[in-house]
Amino acid sequence: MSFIKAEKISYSYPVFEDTDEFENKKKTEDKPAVDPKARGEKALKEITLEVKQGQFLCILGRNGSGKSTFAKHLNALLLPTEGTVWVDDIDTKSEEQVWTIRKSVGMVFQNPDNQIIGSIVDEDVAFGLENLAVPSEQIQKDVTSALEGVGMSDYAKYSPNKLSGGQKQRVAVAGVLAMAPKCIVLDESTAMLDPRGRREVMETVKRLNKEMGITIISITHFMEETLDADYIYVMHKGKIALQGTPKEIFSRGTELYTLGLWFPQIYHLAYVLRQKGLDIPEDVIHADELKQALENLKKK
Amino acid sequence: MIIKLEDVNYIYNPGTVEEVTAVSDANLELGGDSFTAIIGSTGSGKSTLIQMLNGLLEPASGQITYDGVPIYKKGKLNKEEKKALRQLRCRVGLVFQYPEYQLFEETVLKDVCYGPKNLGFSKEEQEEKARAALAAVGASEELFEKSPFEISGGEKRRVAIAGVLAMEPEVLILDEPTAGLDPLGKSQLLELLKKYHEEKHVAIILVSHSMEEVAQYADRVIAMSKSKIVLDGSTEDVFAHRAELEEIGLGVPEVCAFTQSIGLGDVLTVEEAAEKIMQVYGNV
Repeated sequence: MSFIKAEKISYSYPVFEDTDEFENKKKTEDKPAVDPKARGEKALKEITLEVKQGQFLCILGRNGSGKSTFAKHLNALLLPTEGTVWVDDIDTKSEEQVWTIRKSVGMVFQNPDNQIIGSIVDEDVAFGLENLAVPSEQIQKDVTSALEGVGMSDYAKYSPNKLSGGQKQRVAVAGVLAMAPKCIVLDESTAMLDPRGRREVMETVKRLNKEMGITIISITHFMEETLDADYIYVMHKGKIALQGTPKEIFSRGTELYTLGLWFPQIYHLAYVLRQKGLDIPEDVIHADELKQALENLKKK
Repeated sequence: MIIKLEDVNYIYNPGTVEEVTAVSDANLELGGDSFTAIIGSTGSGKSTLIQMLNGLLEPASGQITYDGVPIYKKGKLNKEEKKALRQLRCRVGLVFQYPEYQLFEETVLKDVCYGPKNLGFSKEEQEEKARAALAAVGASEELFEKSPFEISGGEKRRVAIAGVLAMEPEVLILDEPTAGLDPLGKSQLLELLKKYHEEKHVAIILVSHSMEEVAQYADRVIAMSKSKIVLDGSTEDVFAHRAELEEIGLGVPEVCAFTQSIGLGDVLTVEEAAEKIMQVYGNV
């Protein structure tokens, strides 16, 4: 069953007639405004896609290809200029349902320091629930289980500024998780993290996906993070340029370079070995698969 | 130029309950003709260390010198002494994380001129230096008169780096210069740095969370953990310490983990891994 459906959506950022209007708008509204000089070009062009409940999806593409603009359409932070987005069969344009949509699709952004507001971890996680006037006993329960969900129970009473980047991002995930979402969108949530932090966050969301069936949509520049995805969309200049399973995407070979992507290291190694004449299947992307392929060579 | 650190310590909020030692007992010689990478998990002291290298933070104790000349002086300084110190510190350029947030001028060219302007160069000299720096980061002529706010993310990053290059530092320090860039933008930027390093003989000190890029570009690696320098050596030597690196939250490049897992030892790059594998499996 499709959980999110986007049908021919296009989006243009608002354009203002003169610079003053632009400056004022920038100051008074938190909606993104583009410089009037950069007018014209659509950020999204007729994007159609479906996300099934429980999928682990990745979106790749160059800086400026429209990934984040698209992500903001998934919980009505932005509304399409043309076309329609449905979340759980609700049109994101229906104003009275906007909170239902935002409850079911939560977002985690890039900078851990910009999205934590509480001075104690559990207060931060409770923030969304408090805004919905949930009874405090229920909040307590939800916060406890959300922190458990991301493996941060021991840090409930910590000040967020004592946490590492990876821990802060897991707290941000817990804040979303406390709202019992059906889907979590990660907009480059690992970009600023060290290797351990990146691993922690990815393992956490993969577990939430497997154990709780939460749909995960991850925007990333790290090719390695996409290898276990169910499906990948590659965006280019506001359009979907490629789509498929990780094996399908990476077996496109050097076509990926033109889209600004890179090979994950193991696939890259397999690719070079093939070029040097070794008989390695085209769809090898995981280390254990390459190991197996090399063992098979020995047997022959 | 050699930056030398002797018994350098840095403490945040000294004398309070919040006291944290960010760098302890650092003894290092940096610069020369090296492309050095500093690795370490968040909070290990990397950023504090590099901010001391060009005089932004003063060590609590210990000494930092450029070719033997101290970059910090105790006591009250007169105008001349202050100016001399400032000029000295300009020999080391520091590019912060997400430097594009610091772009502010009306045009790209003006923005890059800002550094040389502050160093007191004439208008012609400023422009000359700015143009050379922009060329070095691969920014085309047509960008020069654009607003820094209407160019792409990758371009902004490179223009911001040009702003530091325009001051012609002898040592260039960059704090996670590729964070948030797409793969193509990352490799373009690293290739530019490599070329600049080789052609101008400017030493590079790169802070990075990507073991793959460190393995590919650096000739020396310094690993920090909990305010201390725990590993320092050639890139090969440091990545041979996989267990230690994993313990401090880092690791080795994926291809290196792979060649180890099939008993072929350490490698740094995909090409090296392929060669080793071909030696064993090429004639099977």
